[in-house]
Amino acid sequence: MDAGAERVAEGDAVSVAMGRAYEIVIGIETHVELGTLSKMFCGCSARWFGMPPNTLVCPVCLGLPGALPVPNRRAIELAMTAGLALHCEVPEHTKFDRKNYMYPDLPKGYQISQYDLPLNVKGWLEIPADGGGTKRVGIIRAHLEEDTGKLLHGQGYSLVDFNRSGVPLLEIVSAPDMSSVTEALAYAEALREIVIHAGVSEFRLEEGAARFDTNVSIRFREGGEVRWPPQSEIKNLNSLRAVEQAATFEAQRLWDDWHAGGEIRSRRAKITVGWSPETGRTFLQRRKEEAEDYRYFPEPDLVALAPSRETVATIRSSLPEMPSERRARLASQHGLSDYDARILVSDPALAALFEDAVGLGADPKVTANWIGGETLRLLRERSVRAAEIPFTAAQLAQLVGLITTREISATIAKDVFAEMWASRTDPAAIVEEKGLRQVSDEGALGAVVDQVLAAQAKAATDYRGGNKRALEALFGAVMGRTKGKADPRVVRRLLTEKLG
Amino acid sequence: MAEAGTVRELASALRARSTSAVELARDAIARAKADPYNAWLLVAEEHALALAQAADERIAAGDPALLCGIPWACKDIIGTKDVETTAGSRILDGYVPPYSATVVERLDREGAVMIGKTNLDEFAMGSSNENSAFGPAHNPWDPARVPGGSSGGSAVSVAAGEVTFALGTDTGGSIRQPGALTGIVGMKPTYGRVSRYGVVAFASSLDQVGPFARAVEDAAIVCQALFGLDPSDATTMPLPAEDLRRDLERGVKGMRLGVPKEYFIRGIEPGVERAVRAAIRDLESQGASIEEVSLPSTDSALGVYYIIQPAEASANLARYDGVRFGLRVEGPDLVETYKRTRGAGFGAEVKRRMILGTYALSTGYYDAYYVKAQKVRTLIKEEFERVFAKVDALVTPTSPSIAFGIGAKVNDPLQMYLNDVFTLPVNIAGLPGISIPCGLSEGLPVGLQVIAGYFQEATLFRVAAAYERATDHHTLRPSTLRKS
Ligand SMILES: [Zn+2]
Repeated sequence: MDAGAERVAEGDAVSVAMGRAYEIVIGIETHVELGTLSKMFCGCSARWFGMPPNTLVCPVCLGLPGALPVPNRRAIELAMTAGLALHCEVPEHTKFDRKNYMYPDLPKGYQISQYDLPLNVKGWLEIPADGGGTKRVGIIRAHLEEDTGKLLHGQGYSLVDFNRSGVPLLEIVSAPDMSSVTEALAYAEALREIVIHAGVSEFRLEEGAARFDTNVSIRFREGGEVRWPPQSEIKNLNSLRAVEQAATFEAQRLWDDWHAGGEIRSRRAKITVGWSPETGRTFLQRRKEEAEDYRYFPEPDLVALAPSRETVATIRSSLPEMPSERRARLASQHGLSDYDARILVSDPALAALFEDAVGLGADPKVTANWIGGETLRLLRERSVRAAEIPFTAAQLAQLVGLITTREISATIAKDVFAEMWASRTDPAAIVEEKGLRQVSDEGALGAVVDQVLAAQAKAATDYRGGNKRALEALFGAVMGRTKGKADPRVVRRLLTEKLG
Repeated sequence: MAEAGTVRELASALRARSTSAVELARDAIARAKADPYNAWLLVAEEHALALAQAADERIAAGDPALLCGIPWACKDIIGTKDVETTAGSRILDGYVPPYSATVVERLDREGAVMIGKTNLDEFAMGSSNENSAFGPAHNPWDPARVPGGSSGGSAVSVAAGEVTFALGTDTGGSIRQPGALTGIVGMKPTYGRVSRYGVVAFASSLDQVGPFARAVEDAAIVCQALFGLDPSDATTMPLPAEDLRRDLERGVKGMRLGVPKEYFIRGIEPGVERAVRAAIRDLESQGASIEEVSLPSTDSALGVYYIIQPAEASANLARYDGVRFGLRVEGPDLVETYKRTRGAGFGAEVKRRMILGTYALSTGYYDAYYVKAQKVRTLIKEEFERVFAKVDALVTPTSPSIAFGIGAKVNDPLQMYLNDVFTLPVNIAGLPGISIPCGLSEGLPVGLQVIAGYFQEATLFRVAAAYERATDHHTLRPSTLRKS
């Protein structure tokens, strides 16, 4: 869809940023697969990732002669859910259209999509603005279509896998409202959060189940005039990093090209470019003059849709809390920092884990720290999704309880956490079984401190002579002798008392 | 090797054990194999005998299904599991569908015995069967003439008495016109009555499957088996079950029949007009009141049709790219492979329509052609609806001419397209229509078309059956058969 592009036209209000040579204008078209069990127009499973090629296919998604599409009602609901979560309007009349082009991964020779009457229009989402505060990015439209198959290229041949063919895809077209690469990334992140929170899609960029087309143009003053040449559309970016690098590169390239008197000076319409992560450069795919004419027309195999106002109202009222609202609530309700709230809300599974644990009495700040710290670290290290965290909120709450009542030390808590992750055992049972309870008894610890001071008389002398760092060596030795179970605060106090 | 009988005759013979489904199938297979009209593209002998065997077992077990054991012919644009399906085109070379069309499944369920696949204009694009990649079919009334099209082979298989009924598809007249030109009953149901699932798509908003038969009742029996919602076709309508034969005996007394004046245009052959006017008088004498009505947009129908139909076809035929099935002519690169495959696989008329359709949908022309055509389409529908508020059915000629000579119109596509002027408005509006024999002109059959309102097939059958009962045109047989 070029709708995002059309907005970048002459006549719009222009405010070229001061202090920068040029202003970047970015609009993003996001393709995201919807989390349905079956495909958009047939009963085949939509969970194609990792499946053997061409095992999830039927006459419909193979485009065999005579096959007809039957719309997946769940996909339509999810698409409306996403639209409503993005503050879109759901028009009373919407329909499917055929987008005609031939390519081996498109079995019918046309893609069923939506052209002039999309399912969702005129929405917005909020992002942190560059200059501080927040800003709204317009959503021009969000429409349903079917995904294509995948080509696998060999030496002198190509193979087609149709498992992905017909998987429901939502295309979300933003207005060209982002004025920096940072804002573009903030938009992508905000969109990802909303889509995941709305329960519409898992937004798996790493599986190619979500992709970005990024429209980049530059706007600047030259000789008293504002210049805003047509944009470059960077196709098929499959990570936030690719969006960042490609948009940064292309903006600078356009600027350099302008000064080199290059192609951009005569550009009449947008061009389409690809991104090569290997070279870190964009490359020309086609100019507008060569653009395909998709010859859209209404899909005669499907009847037009008229989403009832009741359905829209029902979906709207059952929308889960959106990330920005949830962040604000968590911050105010539990006194969390904006940073902590942002981390928790980055995935609804993390937020749920937090709220459930806190609901069981766990300290909010400590809980947030353990989710944002060790939990995230292990998730990343082991490439596990938050929804698949192996321990329960109750177990986390128990662990946090052991920490806040100082029954175990922070060092021991890390080991208990790792064990809880690995064996799904309750932390209290782990502590009990392994005898990891923190020792705070001053008598017992005083004895250990005395032993250490006797064994490391030189360090004690150094400390008394003014080398404050010698205390750390003594502290470490006490902790070592107690296998980390000693209450560090008691140890420190005893050491300074006895040395003083 | 007598002619195939009607459904009712055969059903009672089967129950009386005076014949068997296997015997009927063997006879039909023998007739199909001996067919001199190039009506058949494939005789599925083993397949048919297996079906017939199963039908005999069902009949022995007391199955009352009227179509059980009845031999029929399938237009080769309707997909049949494990039986090669060509759509009359080289592009589908070697394609054996892994699934059957819903209509075939429904007839299988009734126990009907498909004998084979019949000739047609390539992708149903034509009115004479001359656009078949496998040669023209010949009209049994005069083998030098066309049987009409696009379902020419199916019409011939019934007209020549080879099978009891056949299925065709009707996009602009492709059942009714060959029905008329071969002197049999040809019926197109309301759009949305019959599933299109598994039927090779030509023009999706116009295509509809329907029967050819010798008798109106047989057409109604077949429709009874075909009609109904299909979850695999989103354009089929959920309607309450009804007995399509309930009004066959009712007669037309008291019915209001409209005669649209725009259907008696210049260009209609005098012999055709004479036969149709006589038929209308016959209906009047049976007690129907005849009323002249007007459908002013009839003139525009041909233009509308030749925008919408090629536009849809241009998209529907994009899947024939040599990648997954059918013909593939390898080229040095992808685009060249596409070009060579499609260049070799499609015939001239198919290419002509894809070019027309692609043009009509192109940026800059879409509004002037496609959008405008859809607006006129709405007008045409509204005109029909207004007329059906006043009359129960319309009676018109099916085709402006009798069967013409093979080759007579091939070089003049426009002349060929005019064959369908009386039938295609019915597809544009999505209405049901039937053609029944109403006499001869120059010794060749003339068809009377009856058109009814949406989902009023029972009314259609009522008028057709009344006319059939009162006349003996349907008993006429091609002289070529009478001689032999
Ligand atoms: Zn499928």
